[in-house]
Amino acid sequence: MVLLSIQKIKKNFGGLQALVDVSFDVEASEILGIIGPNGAGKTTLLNIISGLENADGGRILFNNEVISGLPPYKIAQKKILRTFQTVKLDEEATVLENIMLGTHIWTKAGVIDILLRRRFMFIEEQESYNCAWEVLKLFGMERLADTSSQKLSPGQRQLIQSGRAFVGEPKLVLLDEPVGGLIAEEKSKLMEILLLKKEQKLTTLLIGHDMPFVLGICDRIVVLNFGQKIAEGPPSSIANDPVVIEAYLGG
Amino acid sequence: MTENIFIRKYKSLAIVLFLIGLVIGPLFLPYYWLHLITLAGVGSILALGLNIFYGYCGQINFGVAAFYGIGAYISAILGTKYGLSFPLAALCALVGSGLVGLIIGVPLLRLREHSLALGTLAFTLLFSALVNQFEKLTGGFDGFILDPTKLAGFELGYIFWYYFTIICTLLVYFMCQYIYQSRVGRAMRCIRSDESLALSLGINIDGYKLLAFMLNCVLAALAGIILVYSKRFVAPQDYTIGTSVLVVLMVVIGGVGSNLGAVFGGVLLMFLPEFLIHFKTFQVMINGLILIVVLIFLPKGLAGIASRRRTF
Repeated sequence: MVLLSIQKIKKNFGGLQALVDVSFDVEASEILGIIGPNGAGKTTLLNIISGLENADGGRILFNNEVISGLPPYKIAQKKILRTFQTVKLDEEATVLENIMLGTHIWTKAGVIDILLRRRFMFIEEQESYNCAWEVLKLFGMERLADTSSQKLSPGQRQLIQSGRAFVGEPKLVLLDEPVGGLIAEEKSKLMEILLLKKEQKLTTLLIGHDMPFVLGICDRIVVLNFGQKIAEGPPSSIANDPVVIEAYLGG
Repeated sequence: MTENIFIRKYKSLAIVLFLIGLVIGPLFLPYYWLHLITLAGVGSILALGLNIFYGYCGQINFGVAAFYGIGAYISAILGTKYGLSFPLAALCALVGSGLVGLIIGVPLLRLREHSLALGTLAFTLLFSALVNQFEKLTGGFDGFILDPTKLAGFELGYIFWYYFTIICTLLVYFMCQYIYQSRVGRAMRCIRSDESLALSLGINIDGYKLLAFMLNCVLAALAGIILVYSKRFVAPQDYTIGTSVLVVLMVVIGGVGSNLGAVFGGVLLMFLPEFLIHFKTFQVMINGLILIVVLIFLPKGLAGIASRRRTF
Protein backbone atom coordinates (compact mmCIF):
# COMPACT_ATOMS: atom_id res chain seq x y z
CA MET A 1 0.00 0.00 0.00
CA VAL A 2 1.41 3.35 -1.02
CA LEU A 3 1.65 5.70 1.94
CA LEU A 4 3.42 8.66 0.39
CA SER A 5 3.33 9.57 -3.27
CA ILE A 6 5.75 12.13 -4.67
CA GLN A 7 4.44 13.28 -8.04
CA LYS A 8 6.50 15.32 -10.49
CA ILE A 9 7.93 17.68 -7.89
CA LYS A 10 9.73 20.74 -9.31
CA LYS A 11 11.64 23.34 -7.37
CA ASN A 12 13.57 26.38 -8.59
CA PHE A 13 15.78 28.72 -6.66
CA GLY A 14 16.09 31.77 -8.87
CA GLY A 15 17.59 30.34 -12.02
CA LEU A 16 18.74 27.12 -10.41
CA GLN A 17 16.60 24.02 -10.88
CA ALA A 18 16.91 22.22 -7.57
CA LEU A 19 14.36 19.51 -8.33
CA VAL A 20 13.16 18.42 -11.75
CA ASP A 21 10.09 16.18 -12.08
CA VAL A 22 10.96 13.96 -9.14
CA SER A 23 8.45 11.15 -8.73
CA PHE A 24 8.41 8.03 -6.60
CA ASP A 25 6.20 6.22 -4.10
CA VAL A 26 6.88 5.13 -0.57
CA GLU A 27 5.22 1.89 0.54
CA ALA A 28 3.81 1.54 4.03
CA SER A 29 6.24 0.05 6.57
CA GLU A 30 9.20 0.28 4.27
CA ILE A 31 12.50 2.02 4.89
CA LEU A 32 13.29 4.09 1.82
CA GLY A 33 16.65 5.76 1.39
CA ILE A 34 17.35 8.85 -0.66
CA ILE A 35 20.94 9.22 -1.73
CA GLY A 36 22.89 11.36 -4.12
CA PRO A 37 25.91 13.63 -4.30
CA ASN A 38 25.93 16.92 -2.41
CA GLY A 39 23.55 19.44 -3.91
CA ALA A 40 21.39 16.75 -5.50
CA GLY A 41 18.29 18.22 -3.89
CA LYS A 42 17.71 15.64 -1.16
CA THR A 43 17.18 18.04 1.75
CA THR A 44 15.13 20.34 -0.47
CA LEU A 45 12.86 17.42 -1.24
CA LEU A 46 12.52 16.63 2.45
CA ASN A 47 11.72 20.28 3.17
CA ILE A 48 9.01 20.19 0.54
CA ILE A 49 7.48 16.97 1.90
CA SER A 50 7.47 18.36 5.45
CA GLY A 51 6.04 21.67 4.28
CA LEU A 52 8.90 23.98 5.21
CA GLU A 53 9.25 24.83 1.55
CA ASN A 54 6.73 24.92 -1.27
CA ALA A 55 7.22 23.12 -4.54
CA ASP A 56 6.96 25.06 -7.78
CA GLY A 57 5.17 22.20 -9.45
CA GLY A 58 3.83 18.72 -8.81
CA ARG A 59 2.10 17.43 -5.72
CA ILE A 60 2.50 15.12 -2.78
CA LEU A 61 -0.10 12.69 -1.50
CA PHE A 62 -0.15 11.12 1.92
CA ASN A 63 -2.70 8.38 2.45
CA ASN A 64 -4.27 9.56 -0.79
CA GLU A 65 -4.69 13.06 0.59
CA VAL A 66 -2.92 16.05 -0.97
CA ILE A 67 -0.51 17.51 1.57
CA SER A 68 1.61 19.69 -0.68
CA GLY A 69 0.84 23.32 0.09
CA LEU A 70 -0.19 22.68 3.68
CA PRO A 71 1.65 24.61 6.41
CA PRO A 72 4.34 22.52 8.12
CA TYR A 73 2.55 22.26 11.44
CA LYS A 74 -0.52 20.80 9.77
CA ILE A 75 1.62 18.21 8.00
CA ALA A 76 3.24 17.28 11.30
CA GLN A 77 -0.21 16.91 12.82
CA LYS A 78 -0.96 14.28 10.21
CA LYS A 79 1.68 12.21 12.00
CA ILE A 80 4.57 13.00 9.70
CA LEU A 81 7.62 13.94 11.76
CA ARG A 82 11.10 14.83 10.66
CA THR A 83 14.62 15.46 11.82
CA PHE A 84 17.16 17.98 10.56
CA GLN A 85 20.65 17.54 9.14
CA THR A 86 21.91 20.29 11.45
CA VAL A 87 20.37 18.97 14.63
CA LYS A 88 17.59 21.19 15.98
CA LEU A 89 16.88 20.97 19.68
CA ASP A 90 15.41 23.39 22.22
CA GLU A 91 18.74 24.51 23.61
CA GLU A 92 17.23 25.90 26.80
CA ALA A 93 15.45 22.69 27.71
CA THR A 94 16.65 19.41 29.16
CA VAL A 95 16.93 16.20 27.16
CA LEU A 96 13.70 14.84 28.60
CA GLU A 97 11.79 18.04 27.83
CA ASN A 98 13.15 17.94 24.30
CA ILE A 99 11.90 14.43 23.75
CA MET A 100 8.55 15.32 25.29
CA LEU A 101 8.20 17.98 22.60
CA GLY A 102 7.63 15.11 20.20
CA THR A 103 4.41 14.24 21.97
CA HIS A 104 2.83 17.53 21.01
CA ILE A 105 1.09 15.97 18.04
CA TRP A 106 -0.82 13.42 20.05
CA THR A 107 -1.65 15.50 23.11
CA LYS A 108 -4.53 17.93 23.23
CA ALA A 109 -4.47 19.91 26.47
CA GLY A 110 -4.95 23.62 25.91
CA VAL A 111 -4.28 26.53 28.24
CA ILE A 112 -7.78 26.40 29.75
CA ASP A 113 -7.43 22.68 30.50
CA ILE A 114 -4.09 23.38 32.13
CA LEU A 115 -5.41 26.18 34.30
CA LEU A 116 -8.50 24.23 35.30
CA ARG A 117 -6.21 21.31 36.23
CA ARG A 118 -8.41 18.93 34.30
CA ARG A 119 -7.86 15.23 34.84
CA PHE A 120 -7.22 14.32 31.19
CA MET A 121 -4.45 16.92 31.10
CA PHE A 122 -2.63 15.17 33.98
CA ILE A 123 -3.09 11.80 32.31
CA GLU A 124 -1.71 13.14 29.02
CA GLU A 125 1.23 14.73 30.77
CA GLN A 126 2.02 11.47 32.57
CA GLU A 127 1.77 9.54 29.29
CA SER A 128 4.06 12.04 27.54
CA TYR A 129 6.54 11.68 30.37
CA ASN A 130 6.38 7.88 30.32
CA CYS A 131 6.75 7.65 26.54
CA ALA A 132 9.70 10.01 26.62
CA TRP A 133 11.33 7.79 29.26
CA GLU A 134 10.66 4.69 27.16
CA VAL A 135 12.45 6.29 24.22
CA LEU A 136 15.37 7.31 26.42
CA LYS A 137 15.63 3.73 27.65
CA LEU A 138 15.45 2.45 24.09
CA PHE A 139 18.48 4.56 23.22
CA GLY A 140 20.17 3.73 26.50
CA MET A 141 20.39 7.41 27.46
CA GLU A 142 18.39 7.50 30.70
CA ARG A 143 21.18 9.15 32.66
CA LEU A 144 21.00 12.14 30.31
CA ALA A 145 17.35 12.91 31.12
CA ASP A 146 18.03 16.06 33.13
CA THR A 147 21.05 17.19 31.17
CA SER A 148 20.87 20.46 29.33
CA SER A 149 20.89 19.85 25.60
CA GLN A 150 23.87 22.17 25.30
CA LYS A 151 26.07 19.62 27.07
CA LEU A 152 25.56 16.73 24.65
CA SER A 153 27.97 15.23 22.15
CA PRO A 154 27.02 15.56 18.45
CA GLY A 155 26.07 11.88 18.36
CA GLN A 156 23.85 12.22 21.41
CA ARG A 157 22.16 15.27 19.93
CA GLN A 158 21.42 13.38 16.72
CA LEU A 159 19.97 10.42 18.61
CA ILE A 160 17.82 12.67 20.80
CA GLN A 161 16.44 14.24 17.64
CA SER A 162 15.51 10.83 16.28
CA GLY A 163 14.06 9.87 19.65
CA ARG A 164 11.89 12.95 19.58
CA ALA A 165 10.52 11.92 16.21
CA PHE A 166 9.74 8.37 17.38
CA VAL A 167 8.02 9.47 20.58
CA GLY A 168 5.44 11.29 18.48
CA GLU A 169 4.25 7.88 17.27
CA PRO A 170 4.24 9.04 13.67
CA LYS A 171 2.98 7.13 10.65
CA LEU A 172 5.85 8.45 8.56
CA VAL A 173 9.21 9.67 9.73
CA LEU A 174 11.60 11.73 7.60
CA LEU A 175 15.20 11.47 8.77
CA ASP A 176 17.80 13.82 7.33
CA GLU A 177 21.25 12.25 7.77
CA PRO A 178 20.31 10.41 10.98
CA VAL A 179 23.79 8.95 11.42
CA GLY A 180 25.68 12.21 10.92
CA GLY A 181 28.23 12.47 13.73
CA LEU A 182 27.41 9.07 15.20
CA ILE A 183 30.07 6.66 16.39
CA ALA A 184 29.86 3.00 15.33
CA GLU A 185 28.08 1.92 18.50
CA GLU A 186 25.47 4.64 18.08
CA LYS A 187 24.93 3.75 14.42
CA SER A 188 24.18 0.13 15.16
CA LYS A 189 21.88 1.21 17.97
CA LEU A 190 19.94 3.39 15.56
CA MET A 191 19.78 0.62 12.96
CA GLU A 192 18.38 -1.72 15.60
CA ILE A 193 15.74 0.82 16.53
CA LEU A 194 14.78 1.58 12.93
CA LEU A 195 14.22 -2.13 12.29
CA LEU A 196 12.17 -2.39 15.48
CA LYS A 197 10.05 0.55 14.43
CA LYS A 198 9.60 -0.98 11.00
CA GLU A 199 8.17 -4.05 12.67
CA GLN A 200 5.83 -1.70 14.52
CA LYS A 201 4.59 -0.51 11.14
CA LEU A 202 6.49 2.77 10.99
CA THR A 203 7.37 4.01 7.49
CA THR A 204 10.77 5.65 7.24
CA LEU A 205 12.19 7.94 4.59
CA LEU A 206 15.81 8.73 5.19
CA ILE A 207 18.53 10.74 3.53
CA GLY A 208 21.98 9.29 3.89
CA HIS A 209 25.59 9.77 2.91
CA ASP A 210 26.88 6.82 4.89
CA MET A 211 26.74 4.04 2.25
CA PRO A 212 27.18 1.00 4.49
CA PHE A 213 24.37 2.32 6.69
CA VAL A 214 22.02 3.14 3.83
CA LEU A 215 22.68 -0.05 1.90
CA GLY A 216 22.37 -2.03 5.10
CA ILE A 217 19.08 -0.72 6.41
CA CYS A 218 16.97 0.38 3.45
CA ASP A 219 14.45 -1.79 1.64
CA ARG A 220 14.69 0.40 -1.41
CA ILE A 221 16.74 3.36 -2.48
CA VAL A 222 16.04 6.40 -4.67
CA VAL A 223 19.05 8.16 -6.18
CA LEU A 224 19.01 11.85 -7.02
CA ASN A 225 21.56 13.81 -9.00
CA PHE A 226 21.23 17.47 -10.00
CA GLY A 227 17.61 17.43 -8.90
CA GLN A 228 16.61 14.42 -11.00
CA LYS A 229 15.87 10.85 -10.07
CA ILE A 230 18.45 8.74 -11.79
CA ALA A 231 17.79 5.36 -10.21
CA GLU A 232 15.40 3.52 -7.95
CA GLY A 233 15.48 0.02 -6.58
CA PRO A 234 16.71 -2.36 -3.89
CA PRO A 235 20.21 -1.80 -2.42
CA SER A 236 21.73 -4.63 -4.43
CA SER A 237 20.81 -3.14 -7.80
CA ILE A 238 21.68 0.42 -6.75
CA ALA A 239 25.12 -0.56 -5.49
CA ASN A 240 25.99 -2.01 -8.88
CA ASP A 241 24.23 0.54 -11.04
CA PRO A 242 26.77 2.20 -13.35
CA VAL A 243 24.68 5.39 -13.57
CA VAL A 244 24.79 5.76 -9.80
CA ILE A 245 28.48 5.02 -9.59
CA GLU A 246 29.19 7.59 -12.27
CA ALA A 247 27.14 10.23 -10.49
CA TYR A 248 29.19 9.80 -7.33
CA LEU A 249 32.53 9.71 -9.09
CA GLY A 250 31.59 12.84 -10.99
CA GLY A 251 32.39 11.16 -14.30
CA MET B 1 24.89 16.59 50.31
CA THR B 2 24.34 17.56 53.95
CA GLU B 3 24.78 21.19 52.98
CA ASN B 4 21.95 20.95 50.48
CA ILE B 5 19.50 19.58 53.03
CA PHE B 6 20.59 22.32 55.42
CA ILE B 7 19.92 25.01 52.86
CA ARG B 8 16.67 23.41 51.73
CA LYS B 9 15.30 23.23 55.27
CA TYR B 10 16.15 26.86 55.87
CA LYS B 11 14.77 27.84 52.48
CA SER B 12 11.35 26.40 53.33
CA LEU B 13 11.50 28.00 56.76
CA ALA B 14 12.44 31.33 55.24
CA ILE B 15 9.54 31.14 52.80
CA VAL B 16 7.09 30.27 55.57
CA LEU B 17 8.36 33.10 57.79
CA PHE B 18 8.17 35.50 54.89
CA LEU B 19 4.58 34.53 54.14
CA ILE B 20 3.62 34.82 57.80
CA GLY B 21 5.26 38.23 57.83
CA LEU B 22 3.21 39.27 54.83
CA VAL B 23 0.00 38.08 56.42
CA ILE B 24 0.49 39.90 59.72
CA GLY B 25 2.09 42.90 58.04
CA PRO B 26 -0.81 45.30 58.53
CA LEU B 27 -0.52 44.90 62.29
CA PHE B 28 2.79 46.71 62.50
CA LEU B 29 3.57 48.25 59.13
CA PRO B 30 2.49 51.80 58.33
CA TYR B 31 0.45 52.69 55.24
CA TYR B 32 3.56 53.64 53.27
CA TRP B 33 4.99 50.13 53.50
CA LEU B 34 1.71 48.37 52.83
CA HIS B 35 1.24 50.54 49.77
CA LEU B 36 4.77 49.74 48.65
CA ILE B 37 4.14 46.01 48.98
CA THR B 38 0.94 46.43 47.00
CA LEU B 39 2.93 48.19 44.29
CA ALA B 40 5.47 45.36 44.37
CA GLY B 41 2.63 42.92 43.73
CA VAL B 42 1.42 45.01 40.81
CA GLY B 43 4.95 45.01 39.39
CA SER B 44 5.20 41.25 39.80
CA ILE B 45 1.96 40.67 37.93
CA LEU B 46 3.14 42.93 35.11
CA ALA B 47 6.43 41.08 34.91
CA LEU B 48 4.82 37.64 35.10
CA GLY B 49 2.50 38.58 32.25
CA LEU B 50 5.31 39.84 30.04
CA ASN B 51 7.34 36.78 30.91
CA ILE B 52 4.80 34.59 29.13
CA PHE B 53 5.17 36.51 25.88
CA TYR B 54 8.84 37.50 26.12
CA GLY B 55 10.25 34.79 28.35
CA TYR B 56 8.43 31.73 27.02
CA CYS B 57 7.73 32.72 23.41
CA GLY B 58 10.66 35.02 22.90
CA GLN B 59 8.68 37.89 21.39
CA ILE B 60 9.26 41.54 22.17
CA ASN B 61 6.43 43.63 23.56
CA PHE B 62 6.69 47.33 24.31
CA GLY B 63 2.93 47.66 24.47
CA VAL B 64 2.64 46.39 28.04
CA ALA B 65 2.00 49.90 29.35
CA ALA B 66 -0.97 50.33 27.04
CA PHE B 67 -2.72 47.22 28.36
CA TYR B 68 -1.77 48.18 31.92
CA GLY B 69 -3.56 51.45 31.14
CA ILE B 70 -6.50 49.81 29.39
CA GLY B 71 -7.18 47.73 32.48
CA ALA B 72 -6.78 50.75 34.71
CA TYR B 73 -8.93 53.16 32.74
CA ILE B 74 -11.75 50.79 31.78
CA SER B 75 -12.20 49.57 35.35
CA ALA B 76 -11.89 53.09 36.79
CA ILE B 77 -14.28 54.66 34.30
CA LEU B 78 -16.87 51.92 34.61
CA GLY B 79 -16.60 51.99 38.39
CA THR B 80 -16.60 55.71 39.05
CA LYS B 81 -18.31 57.26 36.05
CA TYR B 82 -20.86 54.55 35.43
CA GLY B 83 -21.30 53.21 38.92
CA LEU B 84 -20.53 49.56 38.19
CA SER B 85 -19.49 47.37 41.10
CA PHE B 86 -15.81 46.53 41.37
CA PRO B 87 -16.09 42.88 40.27
CA LEU B 88 -18.11 43.84 37.22
CA ALA B 89 -15.90 46.76 36.28
CA ALA B 90 -12.82 44.59 36.71
CA LEU B 91 -14.28 41.79 34.62
CA CYS B 92 -15.15 44.18 31.80
CA ALA B 93 -11.65 45.63 31.92
CA LEU B 94 -10.06 42.18 31.73
CA VAL B 95 -12.28 41.03 28.89
CA GLY B 96 -11.85 44.36 27.10
CA SER B 97 -8.10 44.10 27.36
CA GLY B 98 -8.18 40.56 26.02
CA LEU B 99 -10.31 41.61 23.07
CA VAL B 100 -8.05 44.54 22.21
CA GLY B 101 -5.11 42.17 22.48
CA LEU B 102 -6.79 39.81 20.06
CA ILE B 103 -7.67 42.56 17.59
CA ILE B 104 -4.26 44.18 17.42
CA GLY B 105 -2.41 40.93 18.00
CA VAL B 106 -3.50 39.30 14.78
CA PRO B 107 -1.89 41.92 12.50
CA LEU B 108 0.96 42.84 14.86
CA LEU B 109 2.21 39.31 15.39
CA ARG B 110 2.95 38.93 11.71
CA LEU B 111 5.84 41.31 12.36
CA ARG B 112 9.24 40.16 13.49
CA GLU B 113 11.63 41.44 16.10
CA HIS B 114 12.39 45.11 15.37
CA SER B 115 9.12 45.71 13.55
CA LEU B 116 7.21 44.04 16.33
CA ALA B 117 9.03 46.16 18.89
CA LEU B 118 8.12 49.30 16.98
CA GLY B 119 4.56 48.19 16.39
CA THR B 120 3.93 47.53 20.06
CA LEU B 121 5.66 50.78 20.97
CA ALA B 122 3.38 52.59 18.57
CA PHE B 123 0.40 51.09 20.28
CA THR B 124 1.51 52.51 23.61
CA LEU B 125 1.72 55.95 21.97
CA LEU B 126 -1.71 55.43 20.45
CA PHE B 127 -3.12 54.61 23.85
CA SER B 128 -1.67 57.79 25.36
CA ALA B 129 -3.11 59.80 22.51
CA LEU B 130 -6.55 58.26 23.03
CA VAL B 131 -6.46 59.05 26.73
CA ASN B 132 -5.80 62.70 25.90
CA GLN B 133 -8.39 62.70 23.14
CA PHE B 134 -11.27 61.57 25.30
CA GLU B 135 -10.54 63.98 28.11
CA LYS B 136 -14.12 64.13 29.34
CA LEU B 137 -14.04 60.44 30.08
CA THR B 138 -10.46 59.96 31.15
CA GLY B 139 -9.72 63.23 32.88
CA GLY B 140 -6.92 63.79 30.37
CA PHE B 141 -3.51 64.75 31.71
CA ASP B 142 -4.74 65.19 35.28
CA GLY B 143 -6.56 61.89 35.49
CA PHE B 144 -9.27 61.51 38.10
CA ILE B 145 -9.93 60.19 41.56
CA LEU B 146 -11.88 56.97 41.92
CA ASP B 147 -14.88 56.64 44.17
CA PRO B 148 -14.25 54.45 47.21
CA THR B 149 -15.09 50.81 46.58
CA LYS B 150 -17.96 49.56 48.66
CA LEU B 151 -18.88 45.97 49.40
CA ALA B 152 -22.06 45.30 51.38
CA GLY B 153 -21.94 48.83 52.73
CA PHE B 154 -18.31 48.58 53.91
CA GLU B 155 -15.60 50.65 52.28
CA LEU B 156 -12.67 48.57 51.03
CA GLY B 157 -9.54 50.32 52.23
CA TYR B 158 -5.86 49.94 51.61
CA ILE B 159 -5.59 46.91 53.90
CA PHE B 160 -8.10 45.05 51.77
CA TRP B 161 -6.15 45.93 48.62
CA TYR B 162 -2.92 44.84 50.31
CA TYR B 163 -4.28 41.32 50.88
CA PHE B 164 -6.08 41.29 47.56
CA THR B 165 -2.82 42.06 45.73
CA ILE B 166 -0.89 39.38 47.60
CA ILE B 167 -3.51 36.76 46.77
CA CYS B 168 -3.64 37.85 43.12
CA THR B 169 0.13 37.79 42.84
CA LEU B 170 0.27 34.26 44.24
CA LEU B 171 -2.52 33.09 41.95
CA VAL B 172 -0.88 34.61 38.88
CA TYR B 173 2.47 33.11 39.86
CA PHE B 174 1.01 29.62 40.13
CA MET B 175 -0.94 30.11 36.92
CA CYS B 176 2.26 31.02 35.08
CA GLN B 177 4.07 28.07 36.61
CA TYR B 178 1.36 25.65 35.53
CA ILE B 179 1.60 26.95 32.00
CA TYR B 180 5.40 26.83 32.01
CA GLN B 181 5.49 23.19 33.07
CA SER B 182 2.82 22.09 30.63
CA ARG B 183 2.68 21.08 27.01
CA VAL B 184 1.71 24.68 26.13
CA GLY B 185 4.73 26.04 27.97
CA ARG B 186 7.08 23.59 26.25
CA ALA B 187 5.62 24.52 22.88
CA MET B 188 6.04 28.25 23.55
CA ARG B 189 9.62 27.77 24.69
CA CYS B 190 10.30 25.78 21.55
CA ILE B 191 8.99 28.70 19.50
CA ARG B 192 11.49 30.91 21.24
CA SER B 193 14.29 28.49 20.54
CA ASP B 194 13.67 27.70 16.89
CA GLU B 195 10.52 28.46 14.93
CA SER B 196 11.02 25.97 12.11
CA LEU B 197 11.64 23.26 14.68
CA ALA B 198 8.37 24.18 16.40
CA LEU B 199 6.51 24.04 13.08
CA SER B 200 7.96 20.63 12.27
CA LEU B 201 6.68 19.36 15.62
CA GLY B 202 3.10 20.32 14.82
CA ILE B 203 3.12 23.52 16.87
CA ASN B 204 0.87 26.23 15.50
CA ILE B 205 3.20 29.17 16.00
CA ASP B 206 0.76 31.93 15.14
CA GLY B 207 -1.84 30.48 17.47
CA TYR B 208 0.50 30.14 20.42
CA LYS B 209 2.04 33.58 19.94
CA LEU B 210 -1.41 35.12 19.92
CA LEU B 211 -2.35 33.18 23.02
CA ALA B 212 0.80 34.34 24.82
CA PHE B 213 0.13 37.90 23.73
CA MET B 214 -3.44 37.82 25.02
CA LEU B 215 -2.34 36.37 28.34
CA ASN B 216 0.22 39.16 28.59
CA CYS B 217 -2.48 41.74 27.87
CA VAL B 218 -4.97 40.38 30.38
CA LEU B 219 -2.40 40.13 33.15
CA ALA B 220 -1.17 43.66 32.46
CA ALA B 221 -4.78 44.81 32.69
CA LEU B 222 -5.18 43.02 36.01
CA ALA B 223 -2.14 44.89 37.31
CA GLY B 224 -3.68 48.16 36.14
CA ILE B 225 -6.99 47.43 37.85
CA ILE B 226 -5.28 46.70 41.15
CA LEU B 227 -3.09 49.78 40.85
CA VAL B 228 -5.88 52.29 40.36
CA TYR B 229 -8.31 50.76 42.80
CA SER B 230 -5.72 50.51 45.55
CA LYS B 231 -4.50 54.07 45.18
CA ARG B 232 -7.91 55.37 44.07
CA PHE B 233 -6.37 57.43 41.34
CA VAL B 234 -5.80 57.04 37.63
CA ALA B 235 -3.53 59.22 35.53
CA PRO B 236 -1.75 58.77 32.19
CA GLN B 237 1.77 59.24 33.58
CA ASP B 238 1.76 55.64 34.80
CA TYR B 239 1.28 54.21 31.30
CA THR B 240 4.08 55.55 29.15
CA ILE B 241 6.76 53.98 26.97
CA GLY B 242 9.05 54.30 30.00
CA THR B 243 6.68 52.02 31.88
CA SER B 244 6.86 49.41 29.12
CA VAL B 245 10.65 49.55 29.22
CA LEU B 246 10.57 49.22 33.01
CA VAL B 247 8.54 46.03 32.77
CA VAL B 248 10.93 44.61 30.17
CA LEU B 249 13.74 45.47 32.59
CA MET B 250 11.94 43.59 35.37
CA VAL B 251 11.86 40.44 33.27
CA VAL B 252 15.46 40.79 32.08
CA ILE B 253 16.82 41.46 35.58
CA GLY B 254 14.82 38.63 37.02
CA GLY B 255 15.98 36.27 34.31
CA VAL B 256 14.08 35.95 31.06
CA GLY B 257 11.83 32.92 31.24
CA SER B 258 11.90 32.50 34.98
CA ASN B 259 8.65 33.23 36.83
CA LEU B 260 10.28 33.60 40.22
CA GLY B 261 12.78 35.91 38.59
CA ALA B 262 9.91 37.97 37.18
CA VAL B 263 8.54 38.38 40.70
CA PHE B 264 11.99 39.44 41.98
CA GLY B 265 12.38 41.87 39.11
CA GLY B 266 8.90 43.27 39.66
CA VAL B 267 9.44 43.76 43.37
CA LEU B 268 12.91 45.23 42.93
CA LEU B 269 11.96 47.72 40.27
CA MET B 270 8.92 48.90 42.15
CA PHE B 271 10.85 49.33 45.41
CA LEU B 272 13.94 50.88 43.91
CA PRO B 273 12.40 54.16 42.75
CA GLU B 274 11.10 54.75 46.24
CA PHE B 275 14.56 54.41 47.74
CA LEU B 276 16.18 56.40 45.01
CA ILE B 277 13.61 59.18 45.33
CA HIS B 278 16.40 61.66 45.86
CA PHE B 279 17.88 60.74 42.52
CA LYS B 280 14.59 61.13 40.67
CA THR B 281 16.18 63.03 37.81
CA PHE B 282 18.68 60.24 37.26
CA GLN B 283 16.11 57.49 37.39
CA VAL B 284 16.19 56.63 33.72
CA MET B 285 19.99 56.67 33.73
CA ILE B 286 20.10 54.43 36.78
CA ASN B 287 17.70 52.01 35.12
CA GLY B 288 20.00 51.93 32.12
CA LEU B 289 23.05 51.30 34.29
CA ILE B 290 21.30 48.45 36.09
CA LEU B 291 20.43 46.91 32.75
CA ILE B 292 24.03 47.09 31.55
CA VAL B 293 25.39 45.63 34.80
CA VAL B 294 22.92 42.77 34.68
CA LEU B 295 23.58 41.98 31.05
CA ILE B 296 27.32 41.83 31.62
CA PHE B 297 27.54 40.10 35.00
CA LEU B 298 24.26 38.26 35.31
CA PRO B 299 23.19 37.25 31.83
CA LYS B 300 20.61 34.91 33.26
CA GLY B 301 19.39 37.57 35.65
CA LEU B 302 18.76 37.02 39.35
CA ALA B 303 17.30 33.61 38.57
CA GLY B 304 20.74 32.58 37.32
CA ILE B 305 22.15 32.95 40.82
CA ALA B 306 19.44 30.91 42.44
CA SER B 307 19.59 27.86 40.24
CA ARG B 308 21.44 26.49 37.28
CA ARG B 309 18.45 24.78 35.80
CA ARG B 310 15.39 26.85 35.05
CA THR B 311 12.31 25.12 36.37
CA PHE B 312 10.64 28.11 37.96
